[in-house]
Formats: sequence, C-alpha cells, structure tokens
Amino acid sequence: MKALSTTKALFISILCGFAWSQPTPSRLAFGQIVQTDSGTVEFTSRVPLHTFTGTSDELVGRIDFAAQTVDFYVDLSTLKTGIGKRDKDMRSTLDVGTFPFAEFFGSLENTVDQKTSAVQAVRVVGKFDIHGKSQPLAVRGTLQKEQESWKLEATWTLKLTDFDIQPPRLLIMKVDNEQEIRISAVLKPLTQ
Amino acid sequence: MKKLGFFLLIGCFSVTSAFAQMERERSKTQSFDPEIFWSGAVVTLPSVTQLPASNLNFTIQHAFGLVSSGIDELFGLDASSNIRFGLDYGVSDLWSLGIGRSRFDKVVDVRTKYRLITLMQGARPTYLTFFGNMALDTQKNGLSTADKASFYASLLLARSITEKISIQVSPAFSHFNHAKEQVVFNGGLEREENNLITVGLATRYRASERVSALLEYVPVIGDRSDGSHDAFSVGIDVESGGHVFQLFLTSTQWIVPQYVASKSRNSVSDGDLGFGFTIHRVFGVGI
Repeated sequence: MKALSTTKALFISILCGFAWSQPTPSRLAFGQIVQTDSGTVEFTSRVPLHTFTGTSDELVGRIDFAAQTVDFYVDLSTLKTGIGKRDKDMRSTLDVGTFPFAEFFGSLENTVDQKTSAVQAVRVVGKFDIHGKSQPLAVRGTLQKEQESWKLEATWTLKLTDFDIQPPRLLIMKVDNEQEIRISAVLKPLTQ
Repeated sequence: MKKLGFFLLIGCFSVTSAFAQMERERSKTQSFDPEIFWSGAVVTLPSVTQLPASNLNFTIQHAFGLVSSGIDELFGLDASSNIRFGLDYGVSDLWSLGIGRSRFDKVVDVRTKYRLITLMQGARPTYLTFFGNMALDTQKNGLSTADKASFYASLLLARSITEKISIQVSPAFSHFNHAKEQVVFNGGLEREENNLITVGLATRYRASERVSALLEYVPVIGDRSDGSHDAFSVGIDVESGGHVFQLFLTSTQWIVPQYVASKSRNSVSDGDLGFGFTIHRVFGVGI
C-alpha cells in the first residue's frame, strides 16, 4: 500500500473535519442545535450621579446541546443609548470600525435536560472578545424550554480595562470601569 | 506514519473548531451618519449637523461685550450680554424643530432643519440641508405683530474634505417685515434693509477626538443695513458624550442668524471681538 503524502493527509483531514463539523440531519432533527429567533443585549454604565443603559436587539447566537457549545455575538454598531452623541462616543471608544463585534464562544459546563420546561441554571465557560482583545469568561445564566423554543437569560460584569478599553472621561467625570451586561434571547431549533 | 496521523488529527480538530463558530455578519440595520460639525450651530451659523430622532437638545448661548474694553470691564464680561435659550427636538433623523428666546430685542424664534441630501464618499460625507426660521421681536415698541416678524431661509452645503477638515457654505436669504430707521449721534439716519443675502462660510479643524477649532465668516452680499459689518467668529468645540461646549471670539453679539446679517455693528478689522460661549446638552426623550 502506497504511503499517503502529507498534502493528501491534510486534504483528507480537512474533509473529515468539515463533515464532522456540519450539523447533520439527525442532530438537527432532535433539536440539538438552537439559534436565536430574537436576542437582546443590554449594558448599564455608571458615571457620577448618573446611570444609563445601552441596548441592541440584534444579538445572534447558537447553542449546540450535543456538542455543548455556545456561540453568541452582537454587532456593536447596533447598540443604542438613546442619545445620538453618546452612541457616537461609544462607537469611537470601542473602535467599532476596526472591531465590529462583541462575541463569546464557549461550552456548557452542565448538561441541559431537553425534556423539562423548568428553569435550568447553566454555566458556560469560554472566551469573550471585544475591542480586539480576548479574555476567558465564565457566565451563569438560565435556560427554559417553552414548547419548541428556549429562553436564555444571563448577566455578568465586564471590566473595560481588561479589554484595553479606556473608560471615557471629561475632566473629573469618568465612566465606571465595570459594566453590567445582560443578555436575553429566544432560541429555536435550527431546522424549524 | 506518526507524522501523518498527527496531521490528520490536527486537521480534523482545527476545521471542526473553525466551523463550530457561526460566521459573523454585520448588521444590515446599522445606520449612523458621520458628523461634520459636533453641534447644530457652527457659532452663529446653523450647521448641517442633524439632531437624531427623539433627541432633545437644550442650548444656552452667551455673547459678551468687546474684549477691547479692557480690564475695567473684565474684557467685555461686565458688558450687557446677549443670551439665548433654545430647545430643538429631532422629529426624525432628518428633521428637527426648535424654539428659542434671545435677550436682545426679546426675540423669540421658531426654526426647522431638514436634511435633503446625504452623499457618502467612503467615510466622508457631504450633506445638503435646509434651515429656516421665523423670529418675532417681542418688545413693546409700538410695532404691529406682523412688523415685528422676520424670516431666514438657508441651504447648508457641507463636506468633510479630509478626516480632520470640513467646510460649509450657506447661502441665505433674510427678510424683515419692517426695516427700522434710527437717528444716529451725528444727526444722520441709519436704515436697516428689509432683505439681505448672505453667504456664510465655515470650516472646522478636528484637533482631537474631543476638541476642534471653528472659523466662521458671514459676508452680506449686495445691499446691507447701514452701519453693519460682516460677522466673523473663531472658536473651539469641546465634546463629551452628551455635551458640546463652544468657546469663541465673535464680532457680533447677535445670535439669531437674520439679526446677525442685519445688525452686527462691530468690525473685526477694527479688532472688535467679544467672548462668547454656547453649551449644547442632548437628552434622549423617546417621545
């Protein structure tokens, strides 16, 4: 038998990987992969004597229960705080032109019971990326099955300086380094 | 053979990992227009900058006396100053309405601004905007309400020339229903014009993310009110998330644009400049 060349081996391995990675009909049929039907991100920022929130209704995400993976992202240019000037400032601070997404990719630490409609506590660990910087992140949240849909909610605190984001300031007024992030989403099976 | 196995393993895992993440796609709904100026006014001229929908802009403008009055008058700060309080509301991202009241002549003005055209060349915008107002002198001076009214209509054409430099040209027509006449000290008669044409010129140099320099010149073309001079202003903008602070030196104490065109009596060539400042504060009201 002829020995495989390195190039051929790579080619075969890529094909294998591709085939393995694609959602197969059997996995989809059981609703193993769910994707956002709607998703919201909200952050709360504090400056002295004042608090404001920013939201985006364009959170996109997918949970693969079989592979135990969680993948979410939002286009940061869709975040709105209600004041156009502040939005512009925020886009500049986050350098949205160069780094348009905030994203999380990780894995579920506990197995989700897909038969119960009770609220289930989940913990995911992975990497959170924003402003071109990646940091490990563990987030606690809840998942609840409602008929065919899944409702997801999670909160965590993000430190701007961990991602090389300088909190905006003017004279003595400075935006707090810690931002409270909340996400909520309704996810539906990919095939439906 | 071991090497081959290694490649197979790595290949499988790397591709799996790559495909496990969704492809990131930019939102189709993202929409924001780059600002050529940071506020709705350059100094006295309205600028092409549009107030976003559901945003309320509160403005307080001050124009003090002449700096040349010296330390005795604290360089004009002790002199009578013109003050205007104003509110503008973004009805949509293209259209705003506003109202304001100035101290001089107790002028109340209502105004509107509508962006007609947006052209993008890369990240550099060109805007064409209409600005119009109606002002009413609310002094008790014996004139009828109709005679106290004045109007201003202007097209504002602005373009970002480079990342830092922007220019604006604003041809405008001003109309006063009643042209005032007054006897001056030497016994002569000075008369104001009913109709004036101006071509406002403005430029901005963005020095940093938060500071920019402004230059504004408003020449009157054709007939002009007796004793009036073209208004000239130079200043800086300082921007924070919800505020824009403008500090300037200007040859006019008038704030409403048709009054700037008709009644500015200081001459920049004589060094007649006064200090002034404007604070813009934007609120999200979501009506």
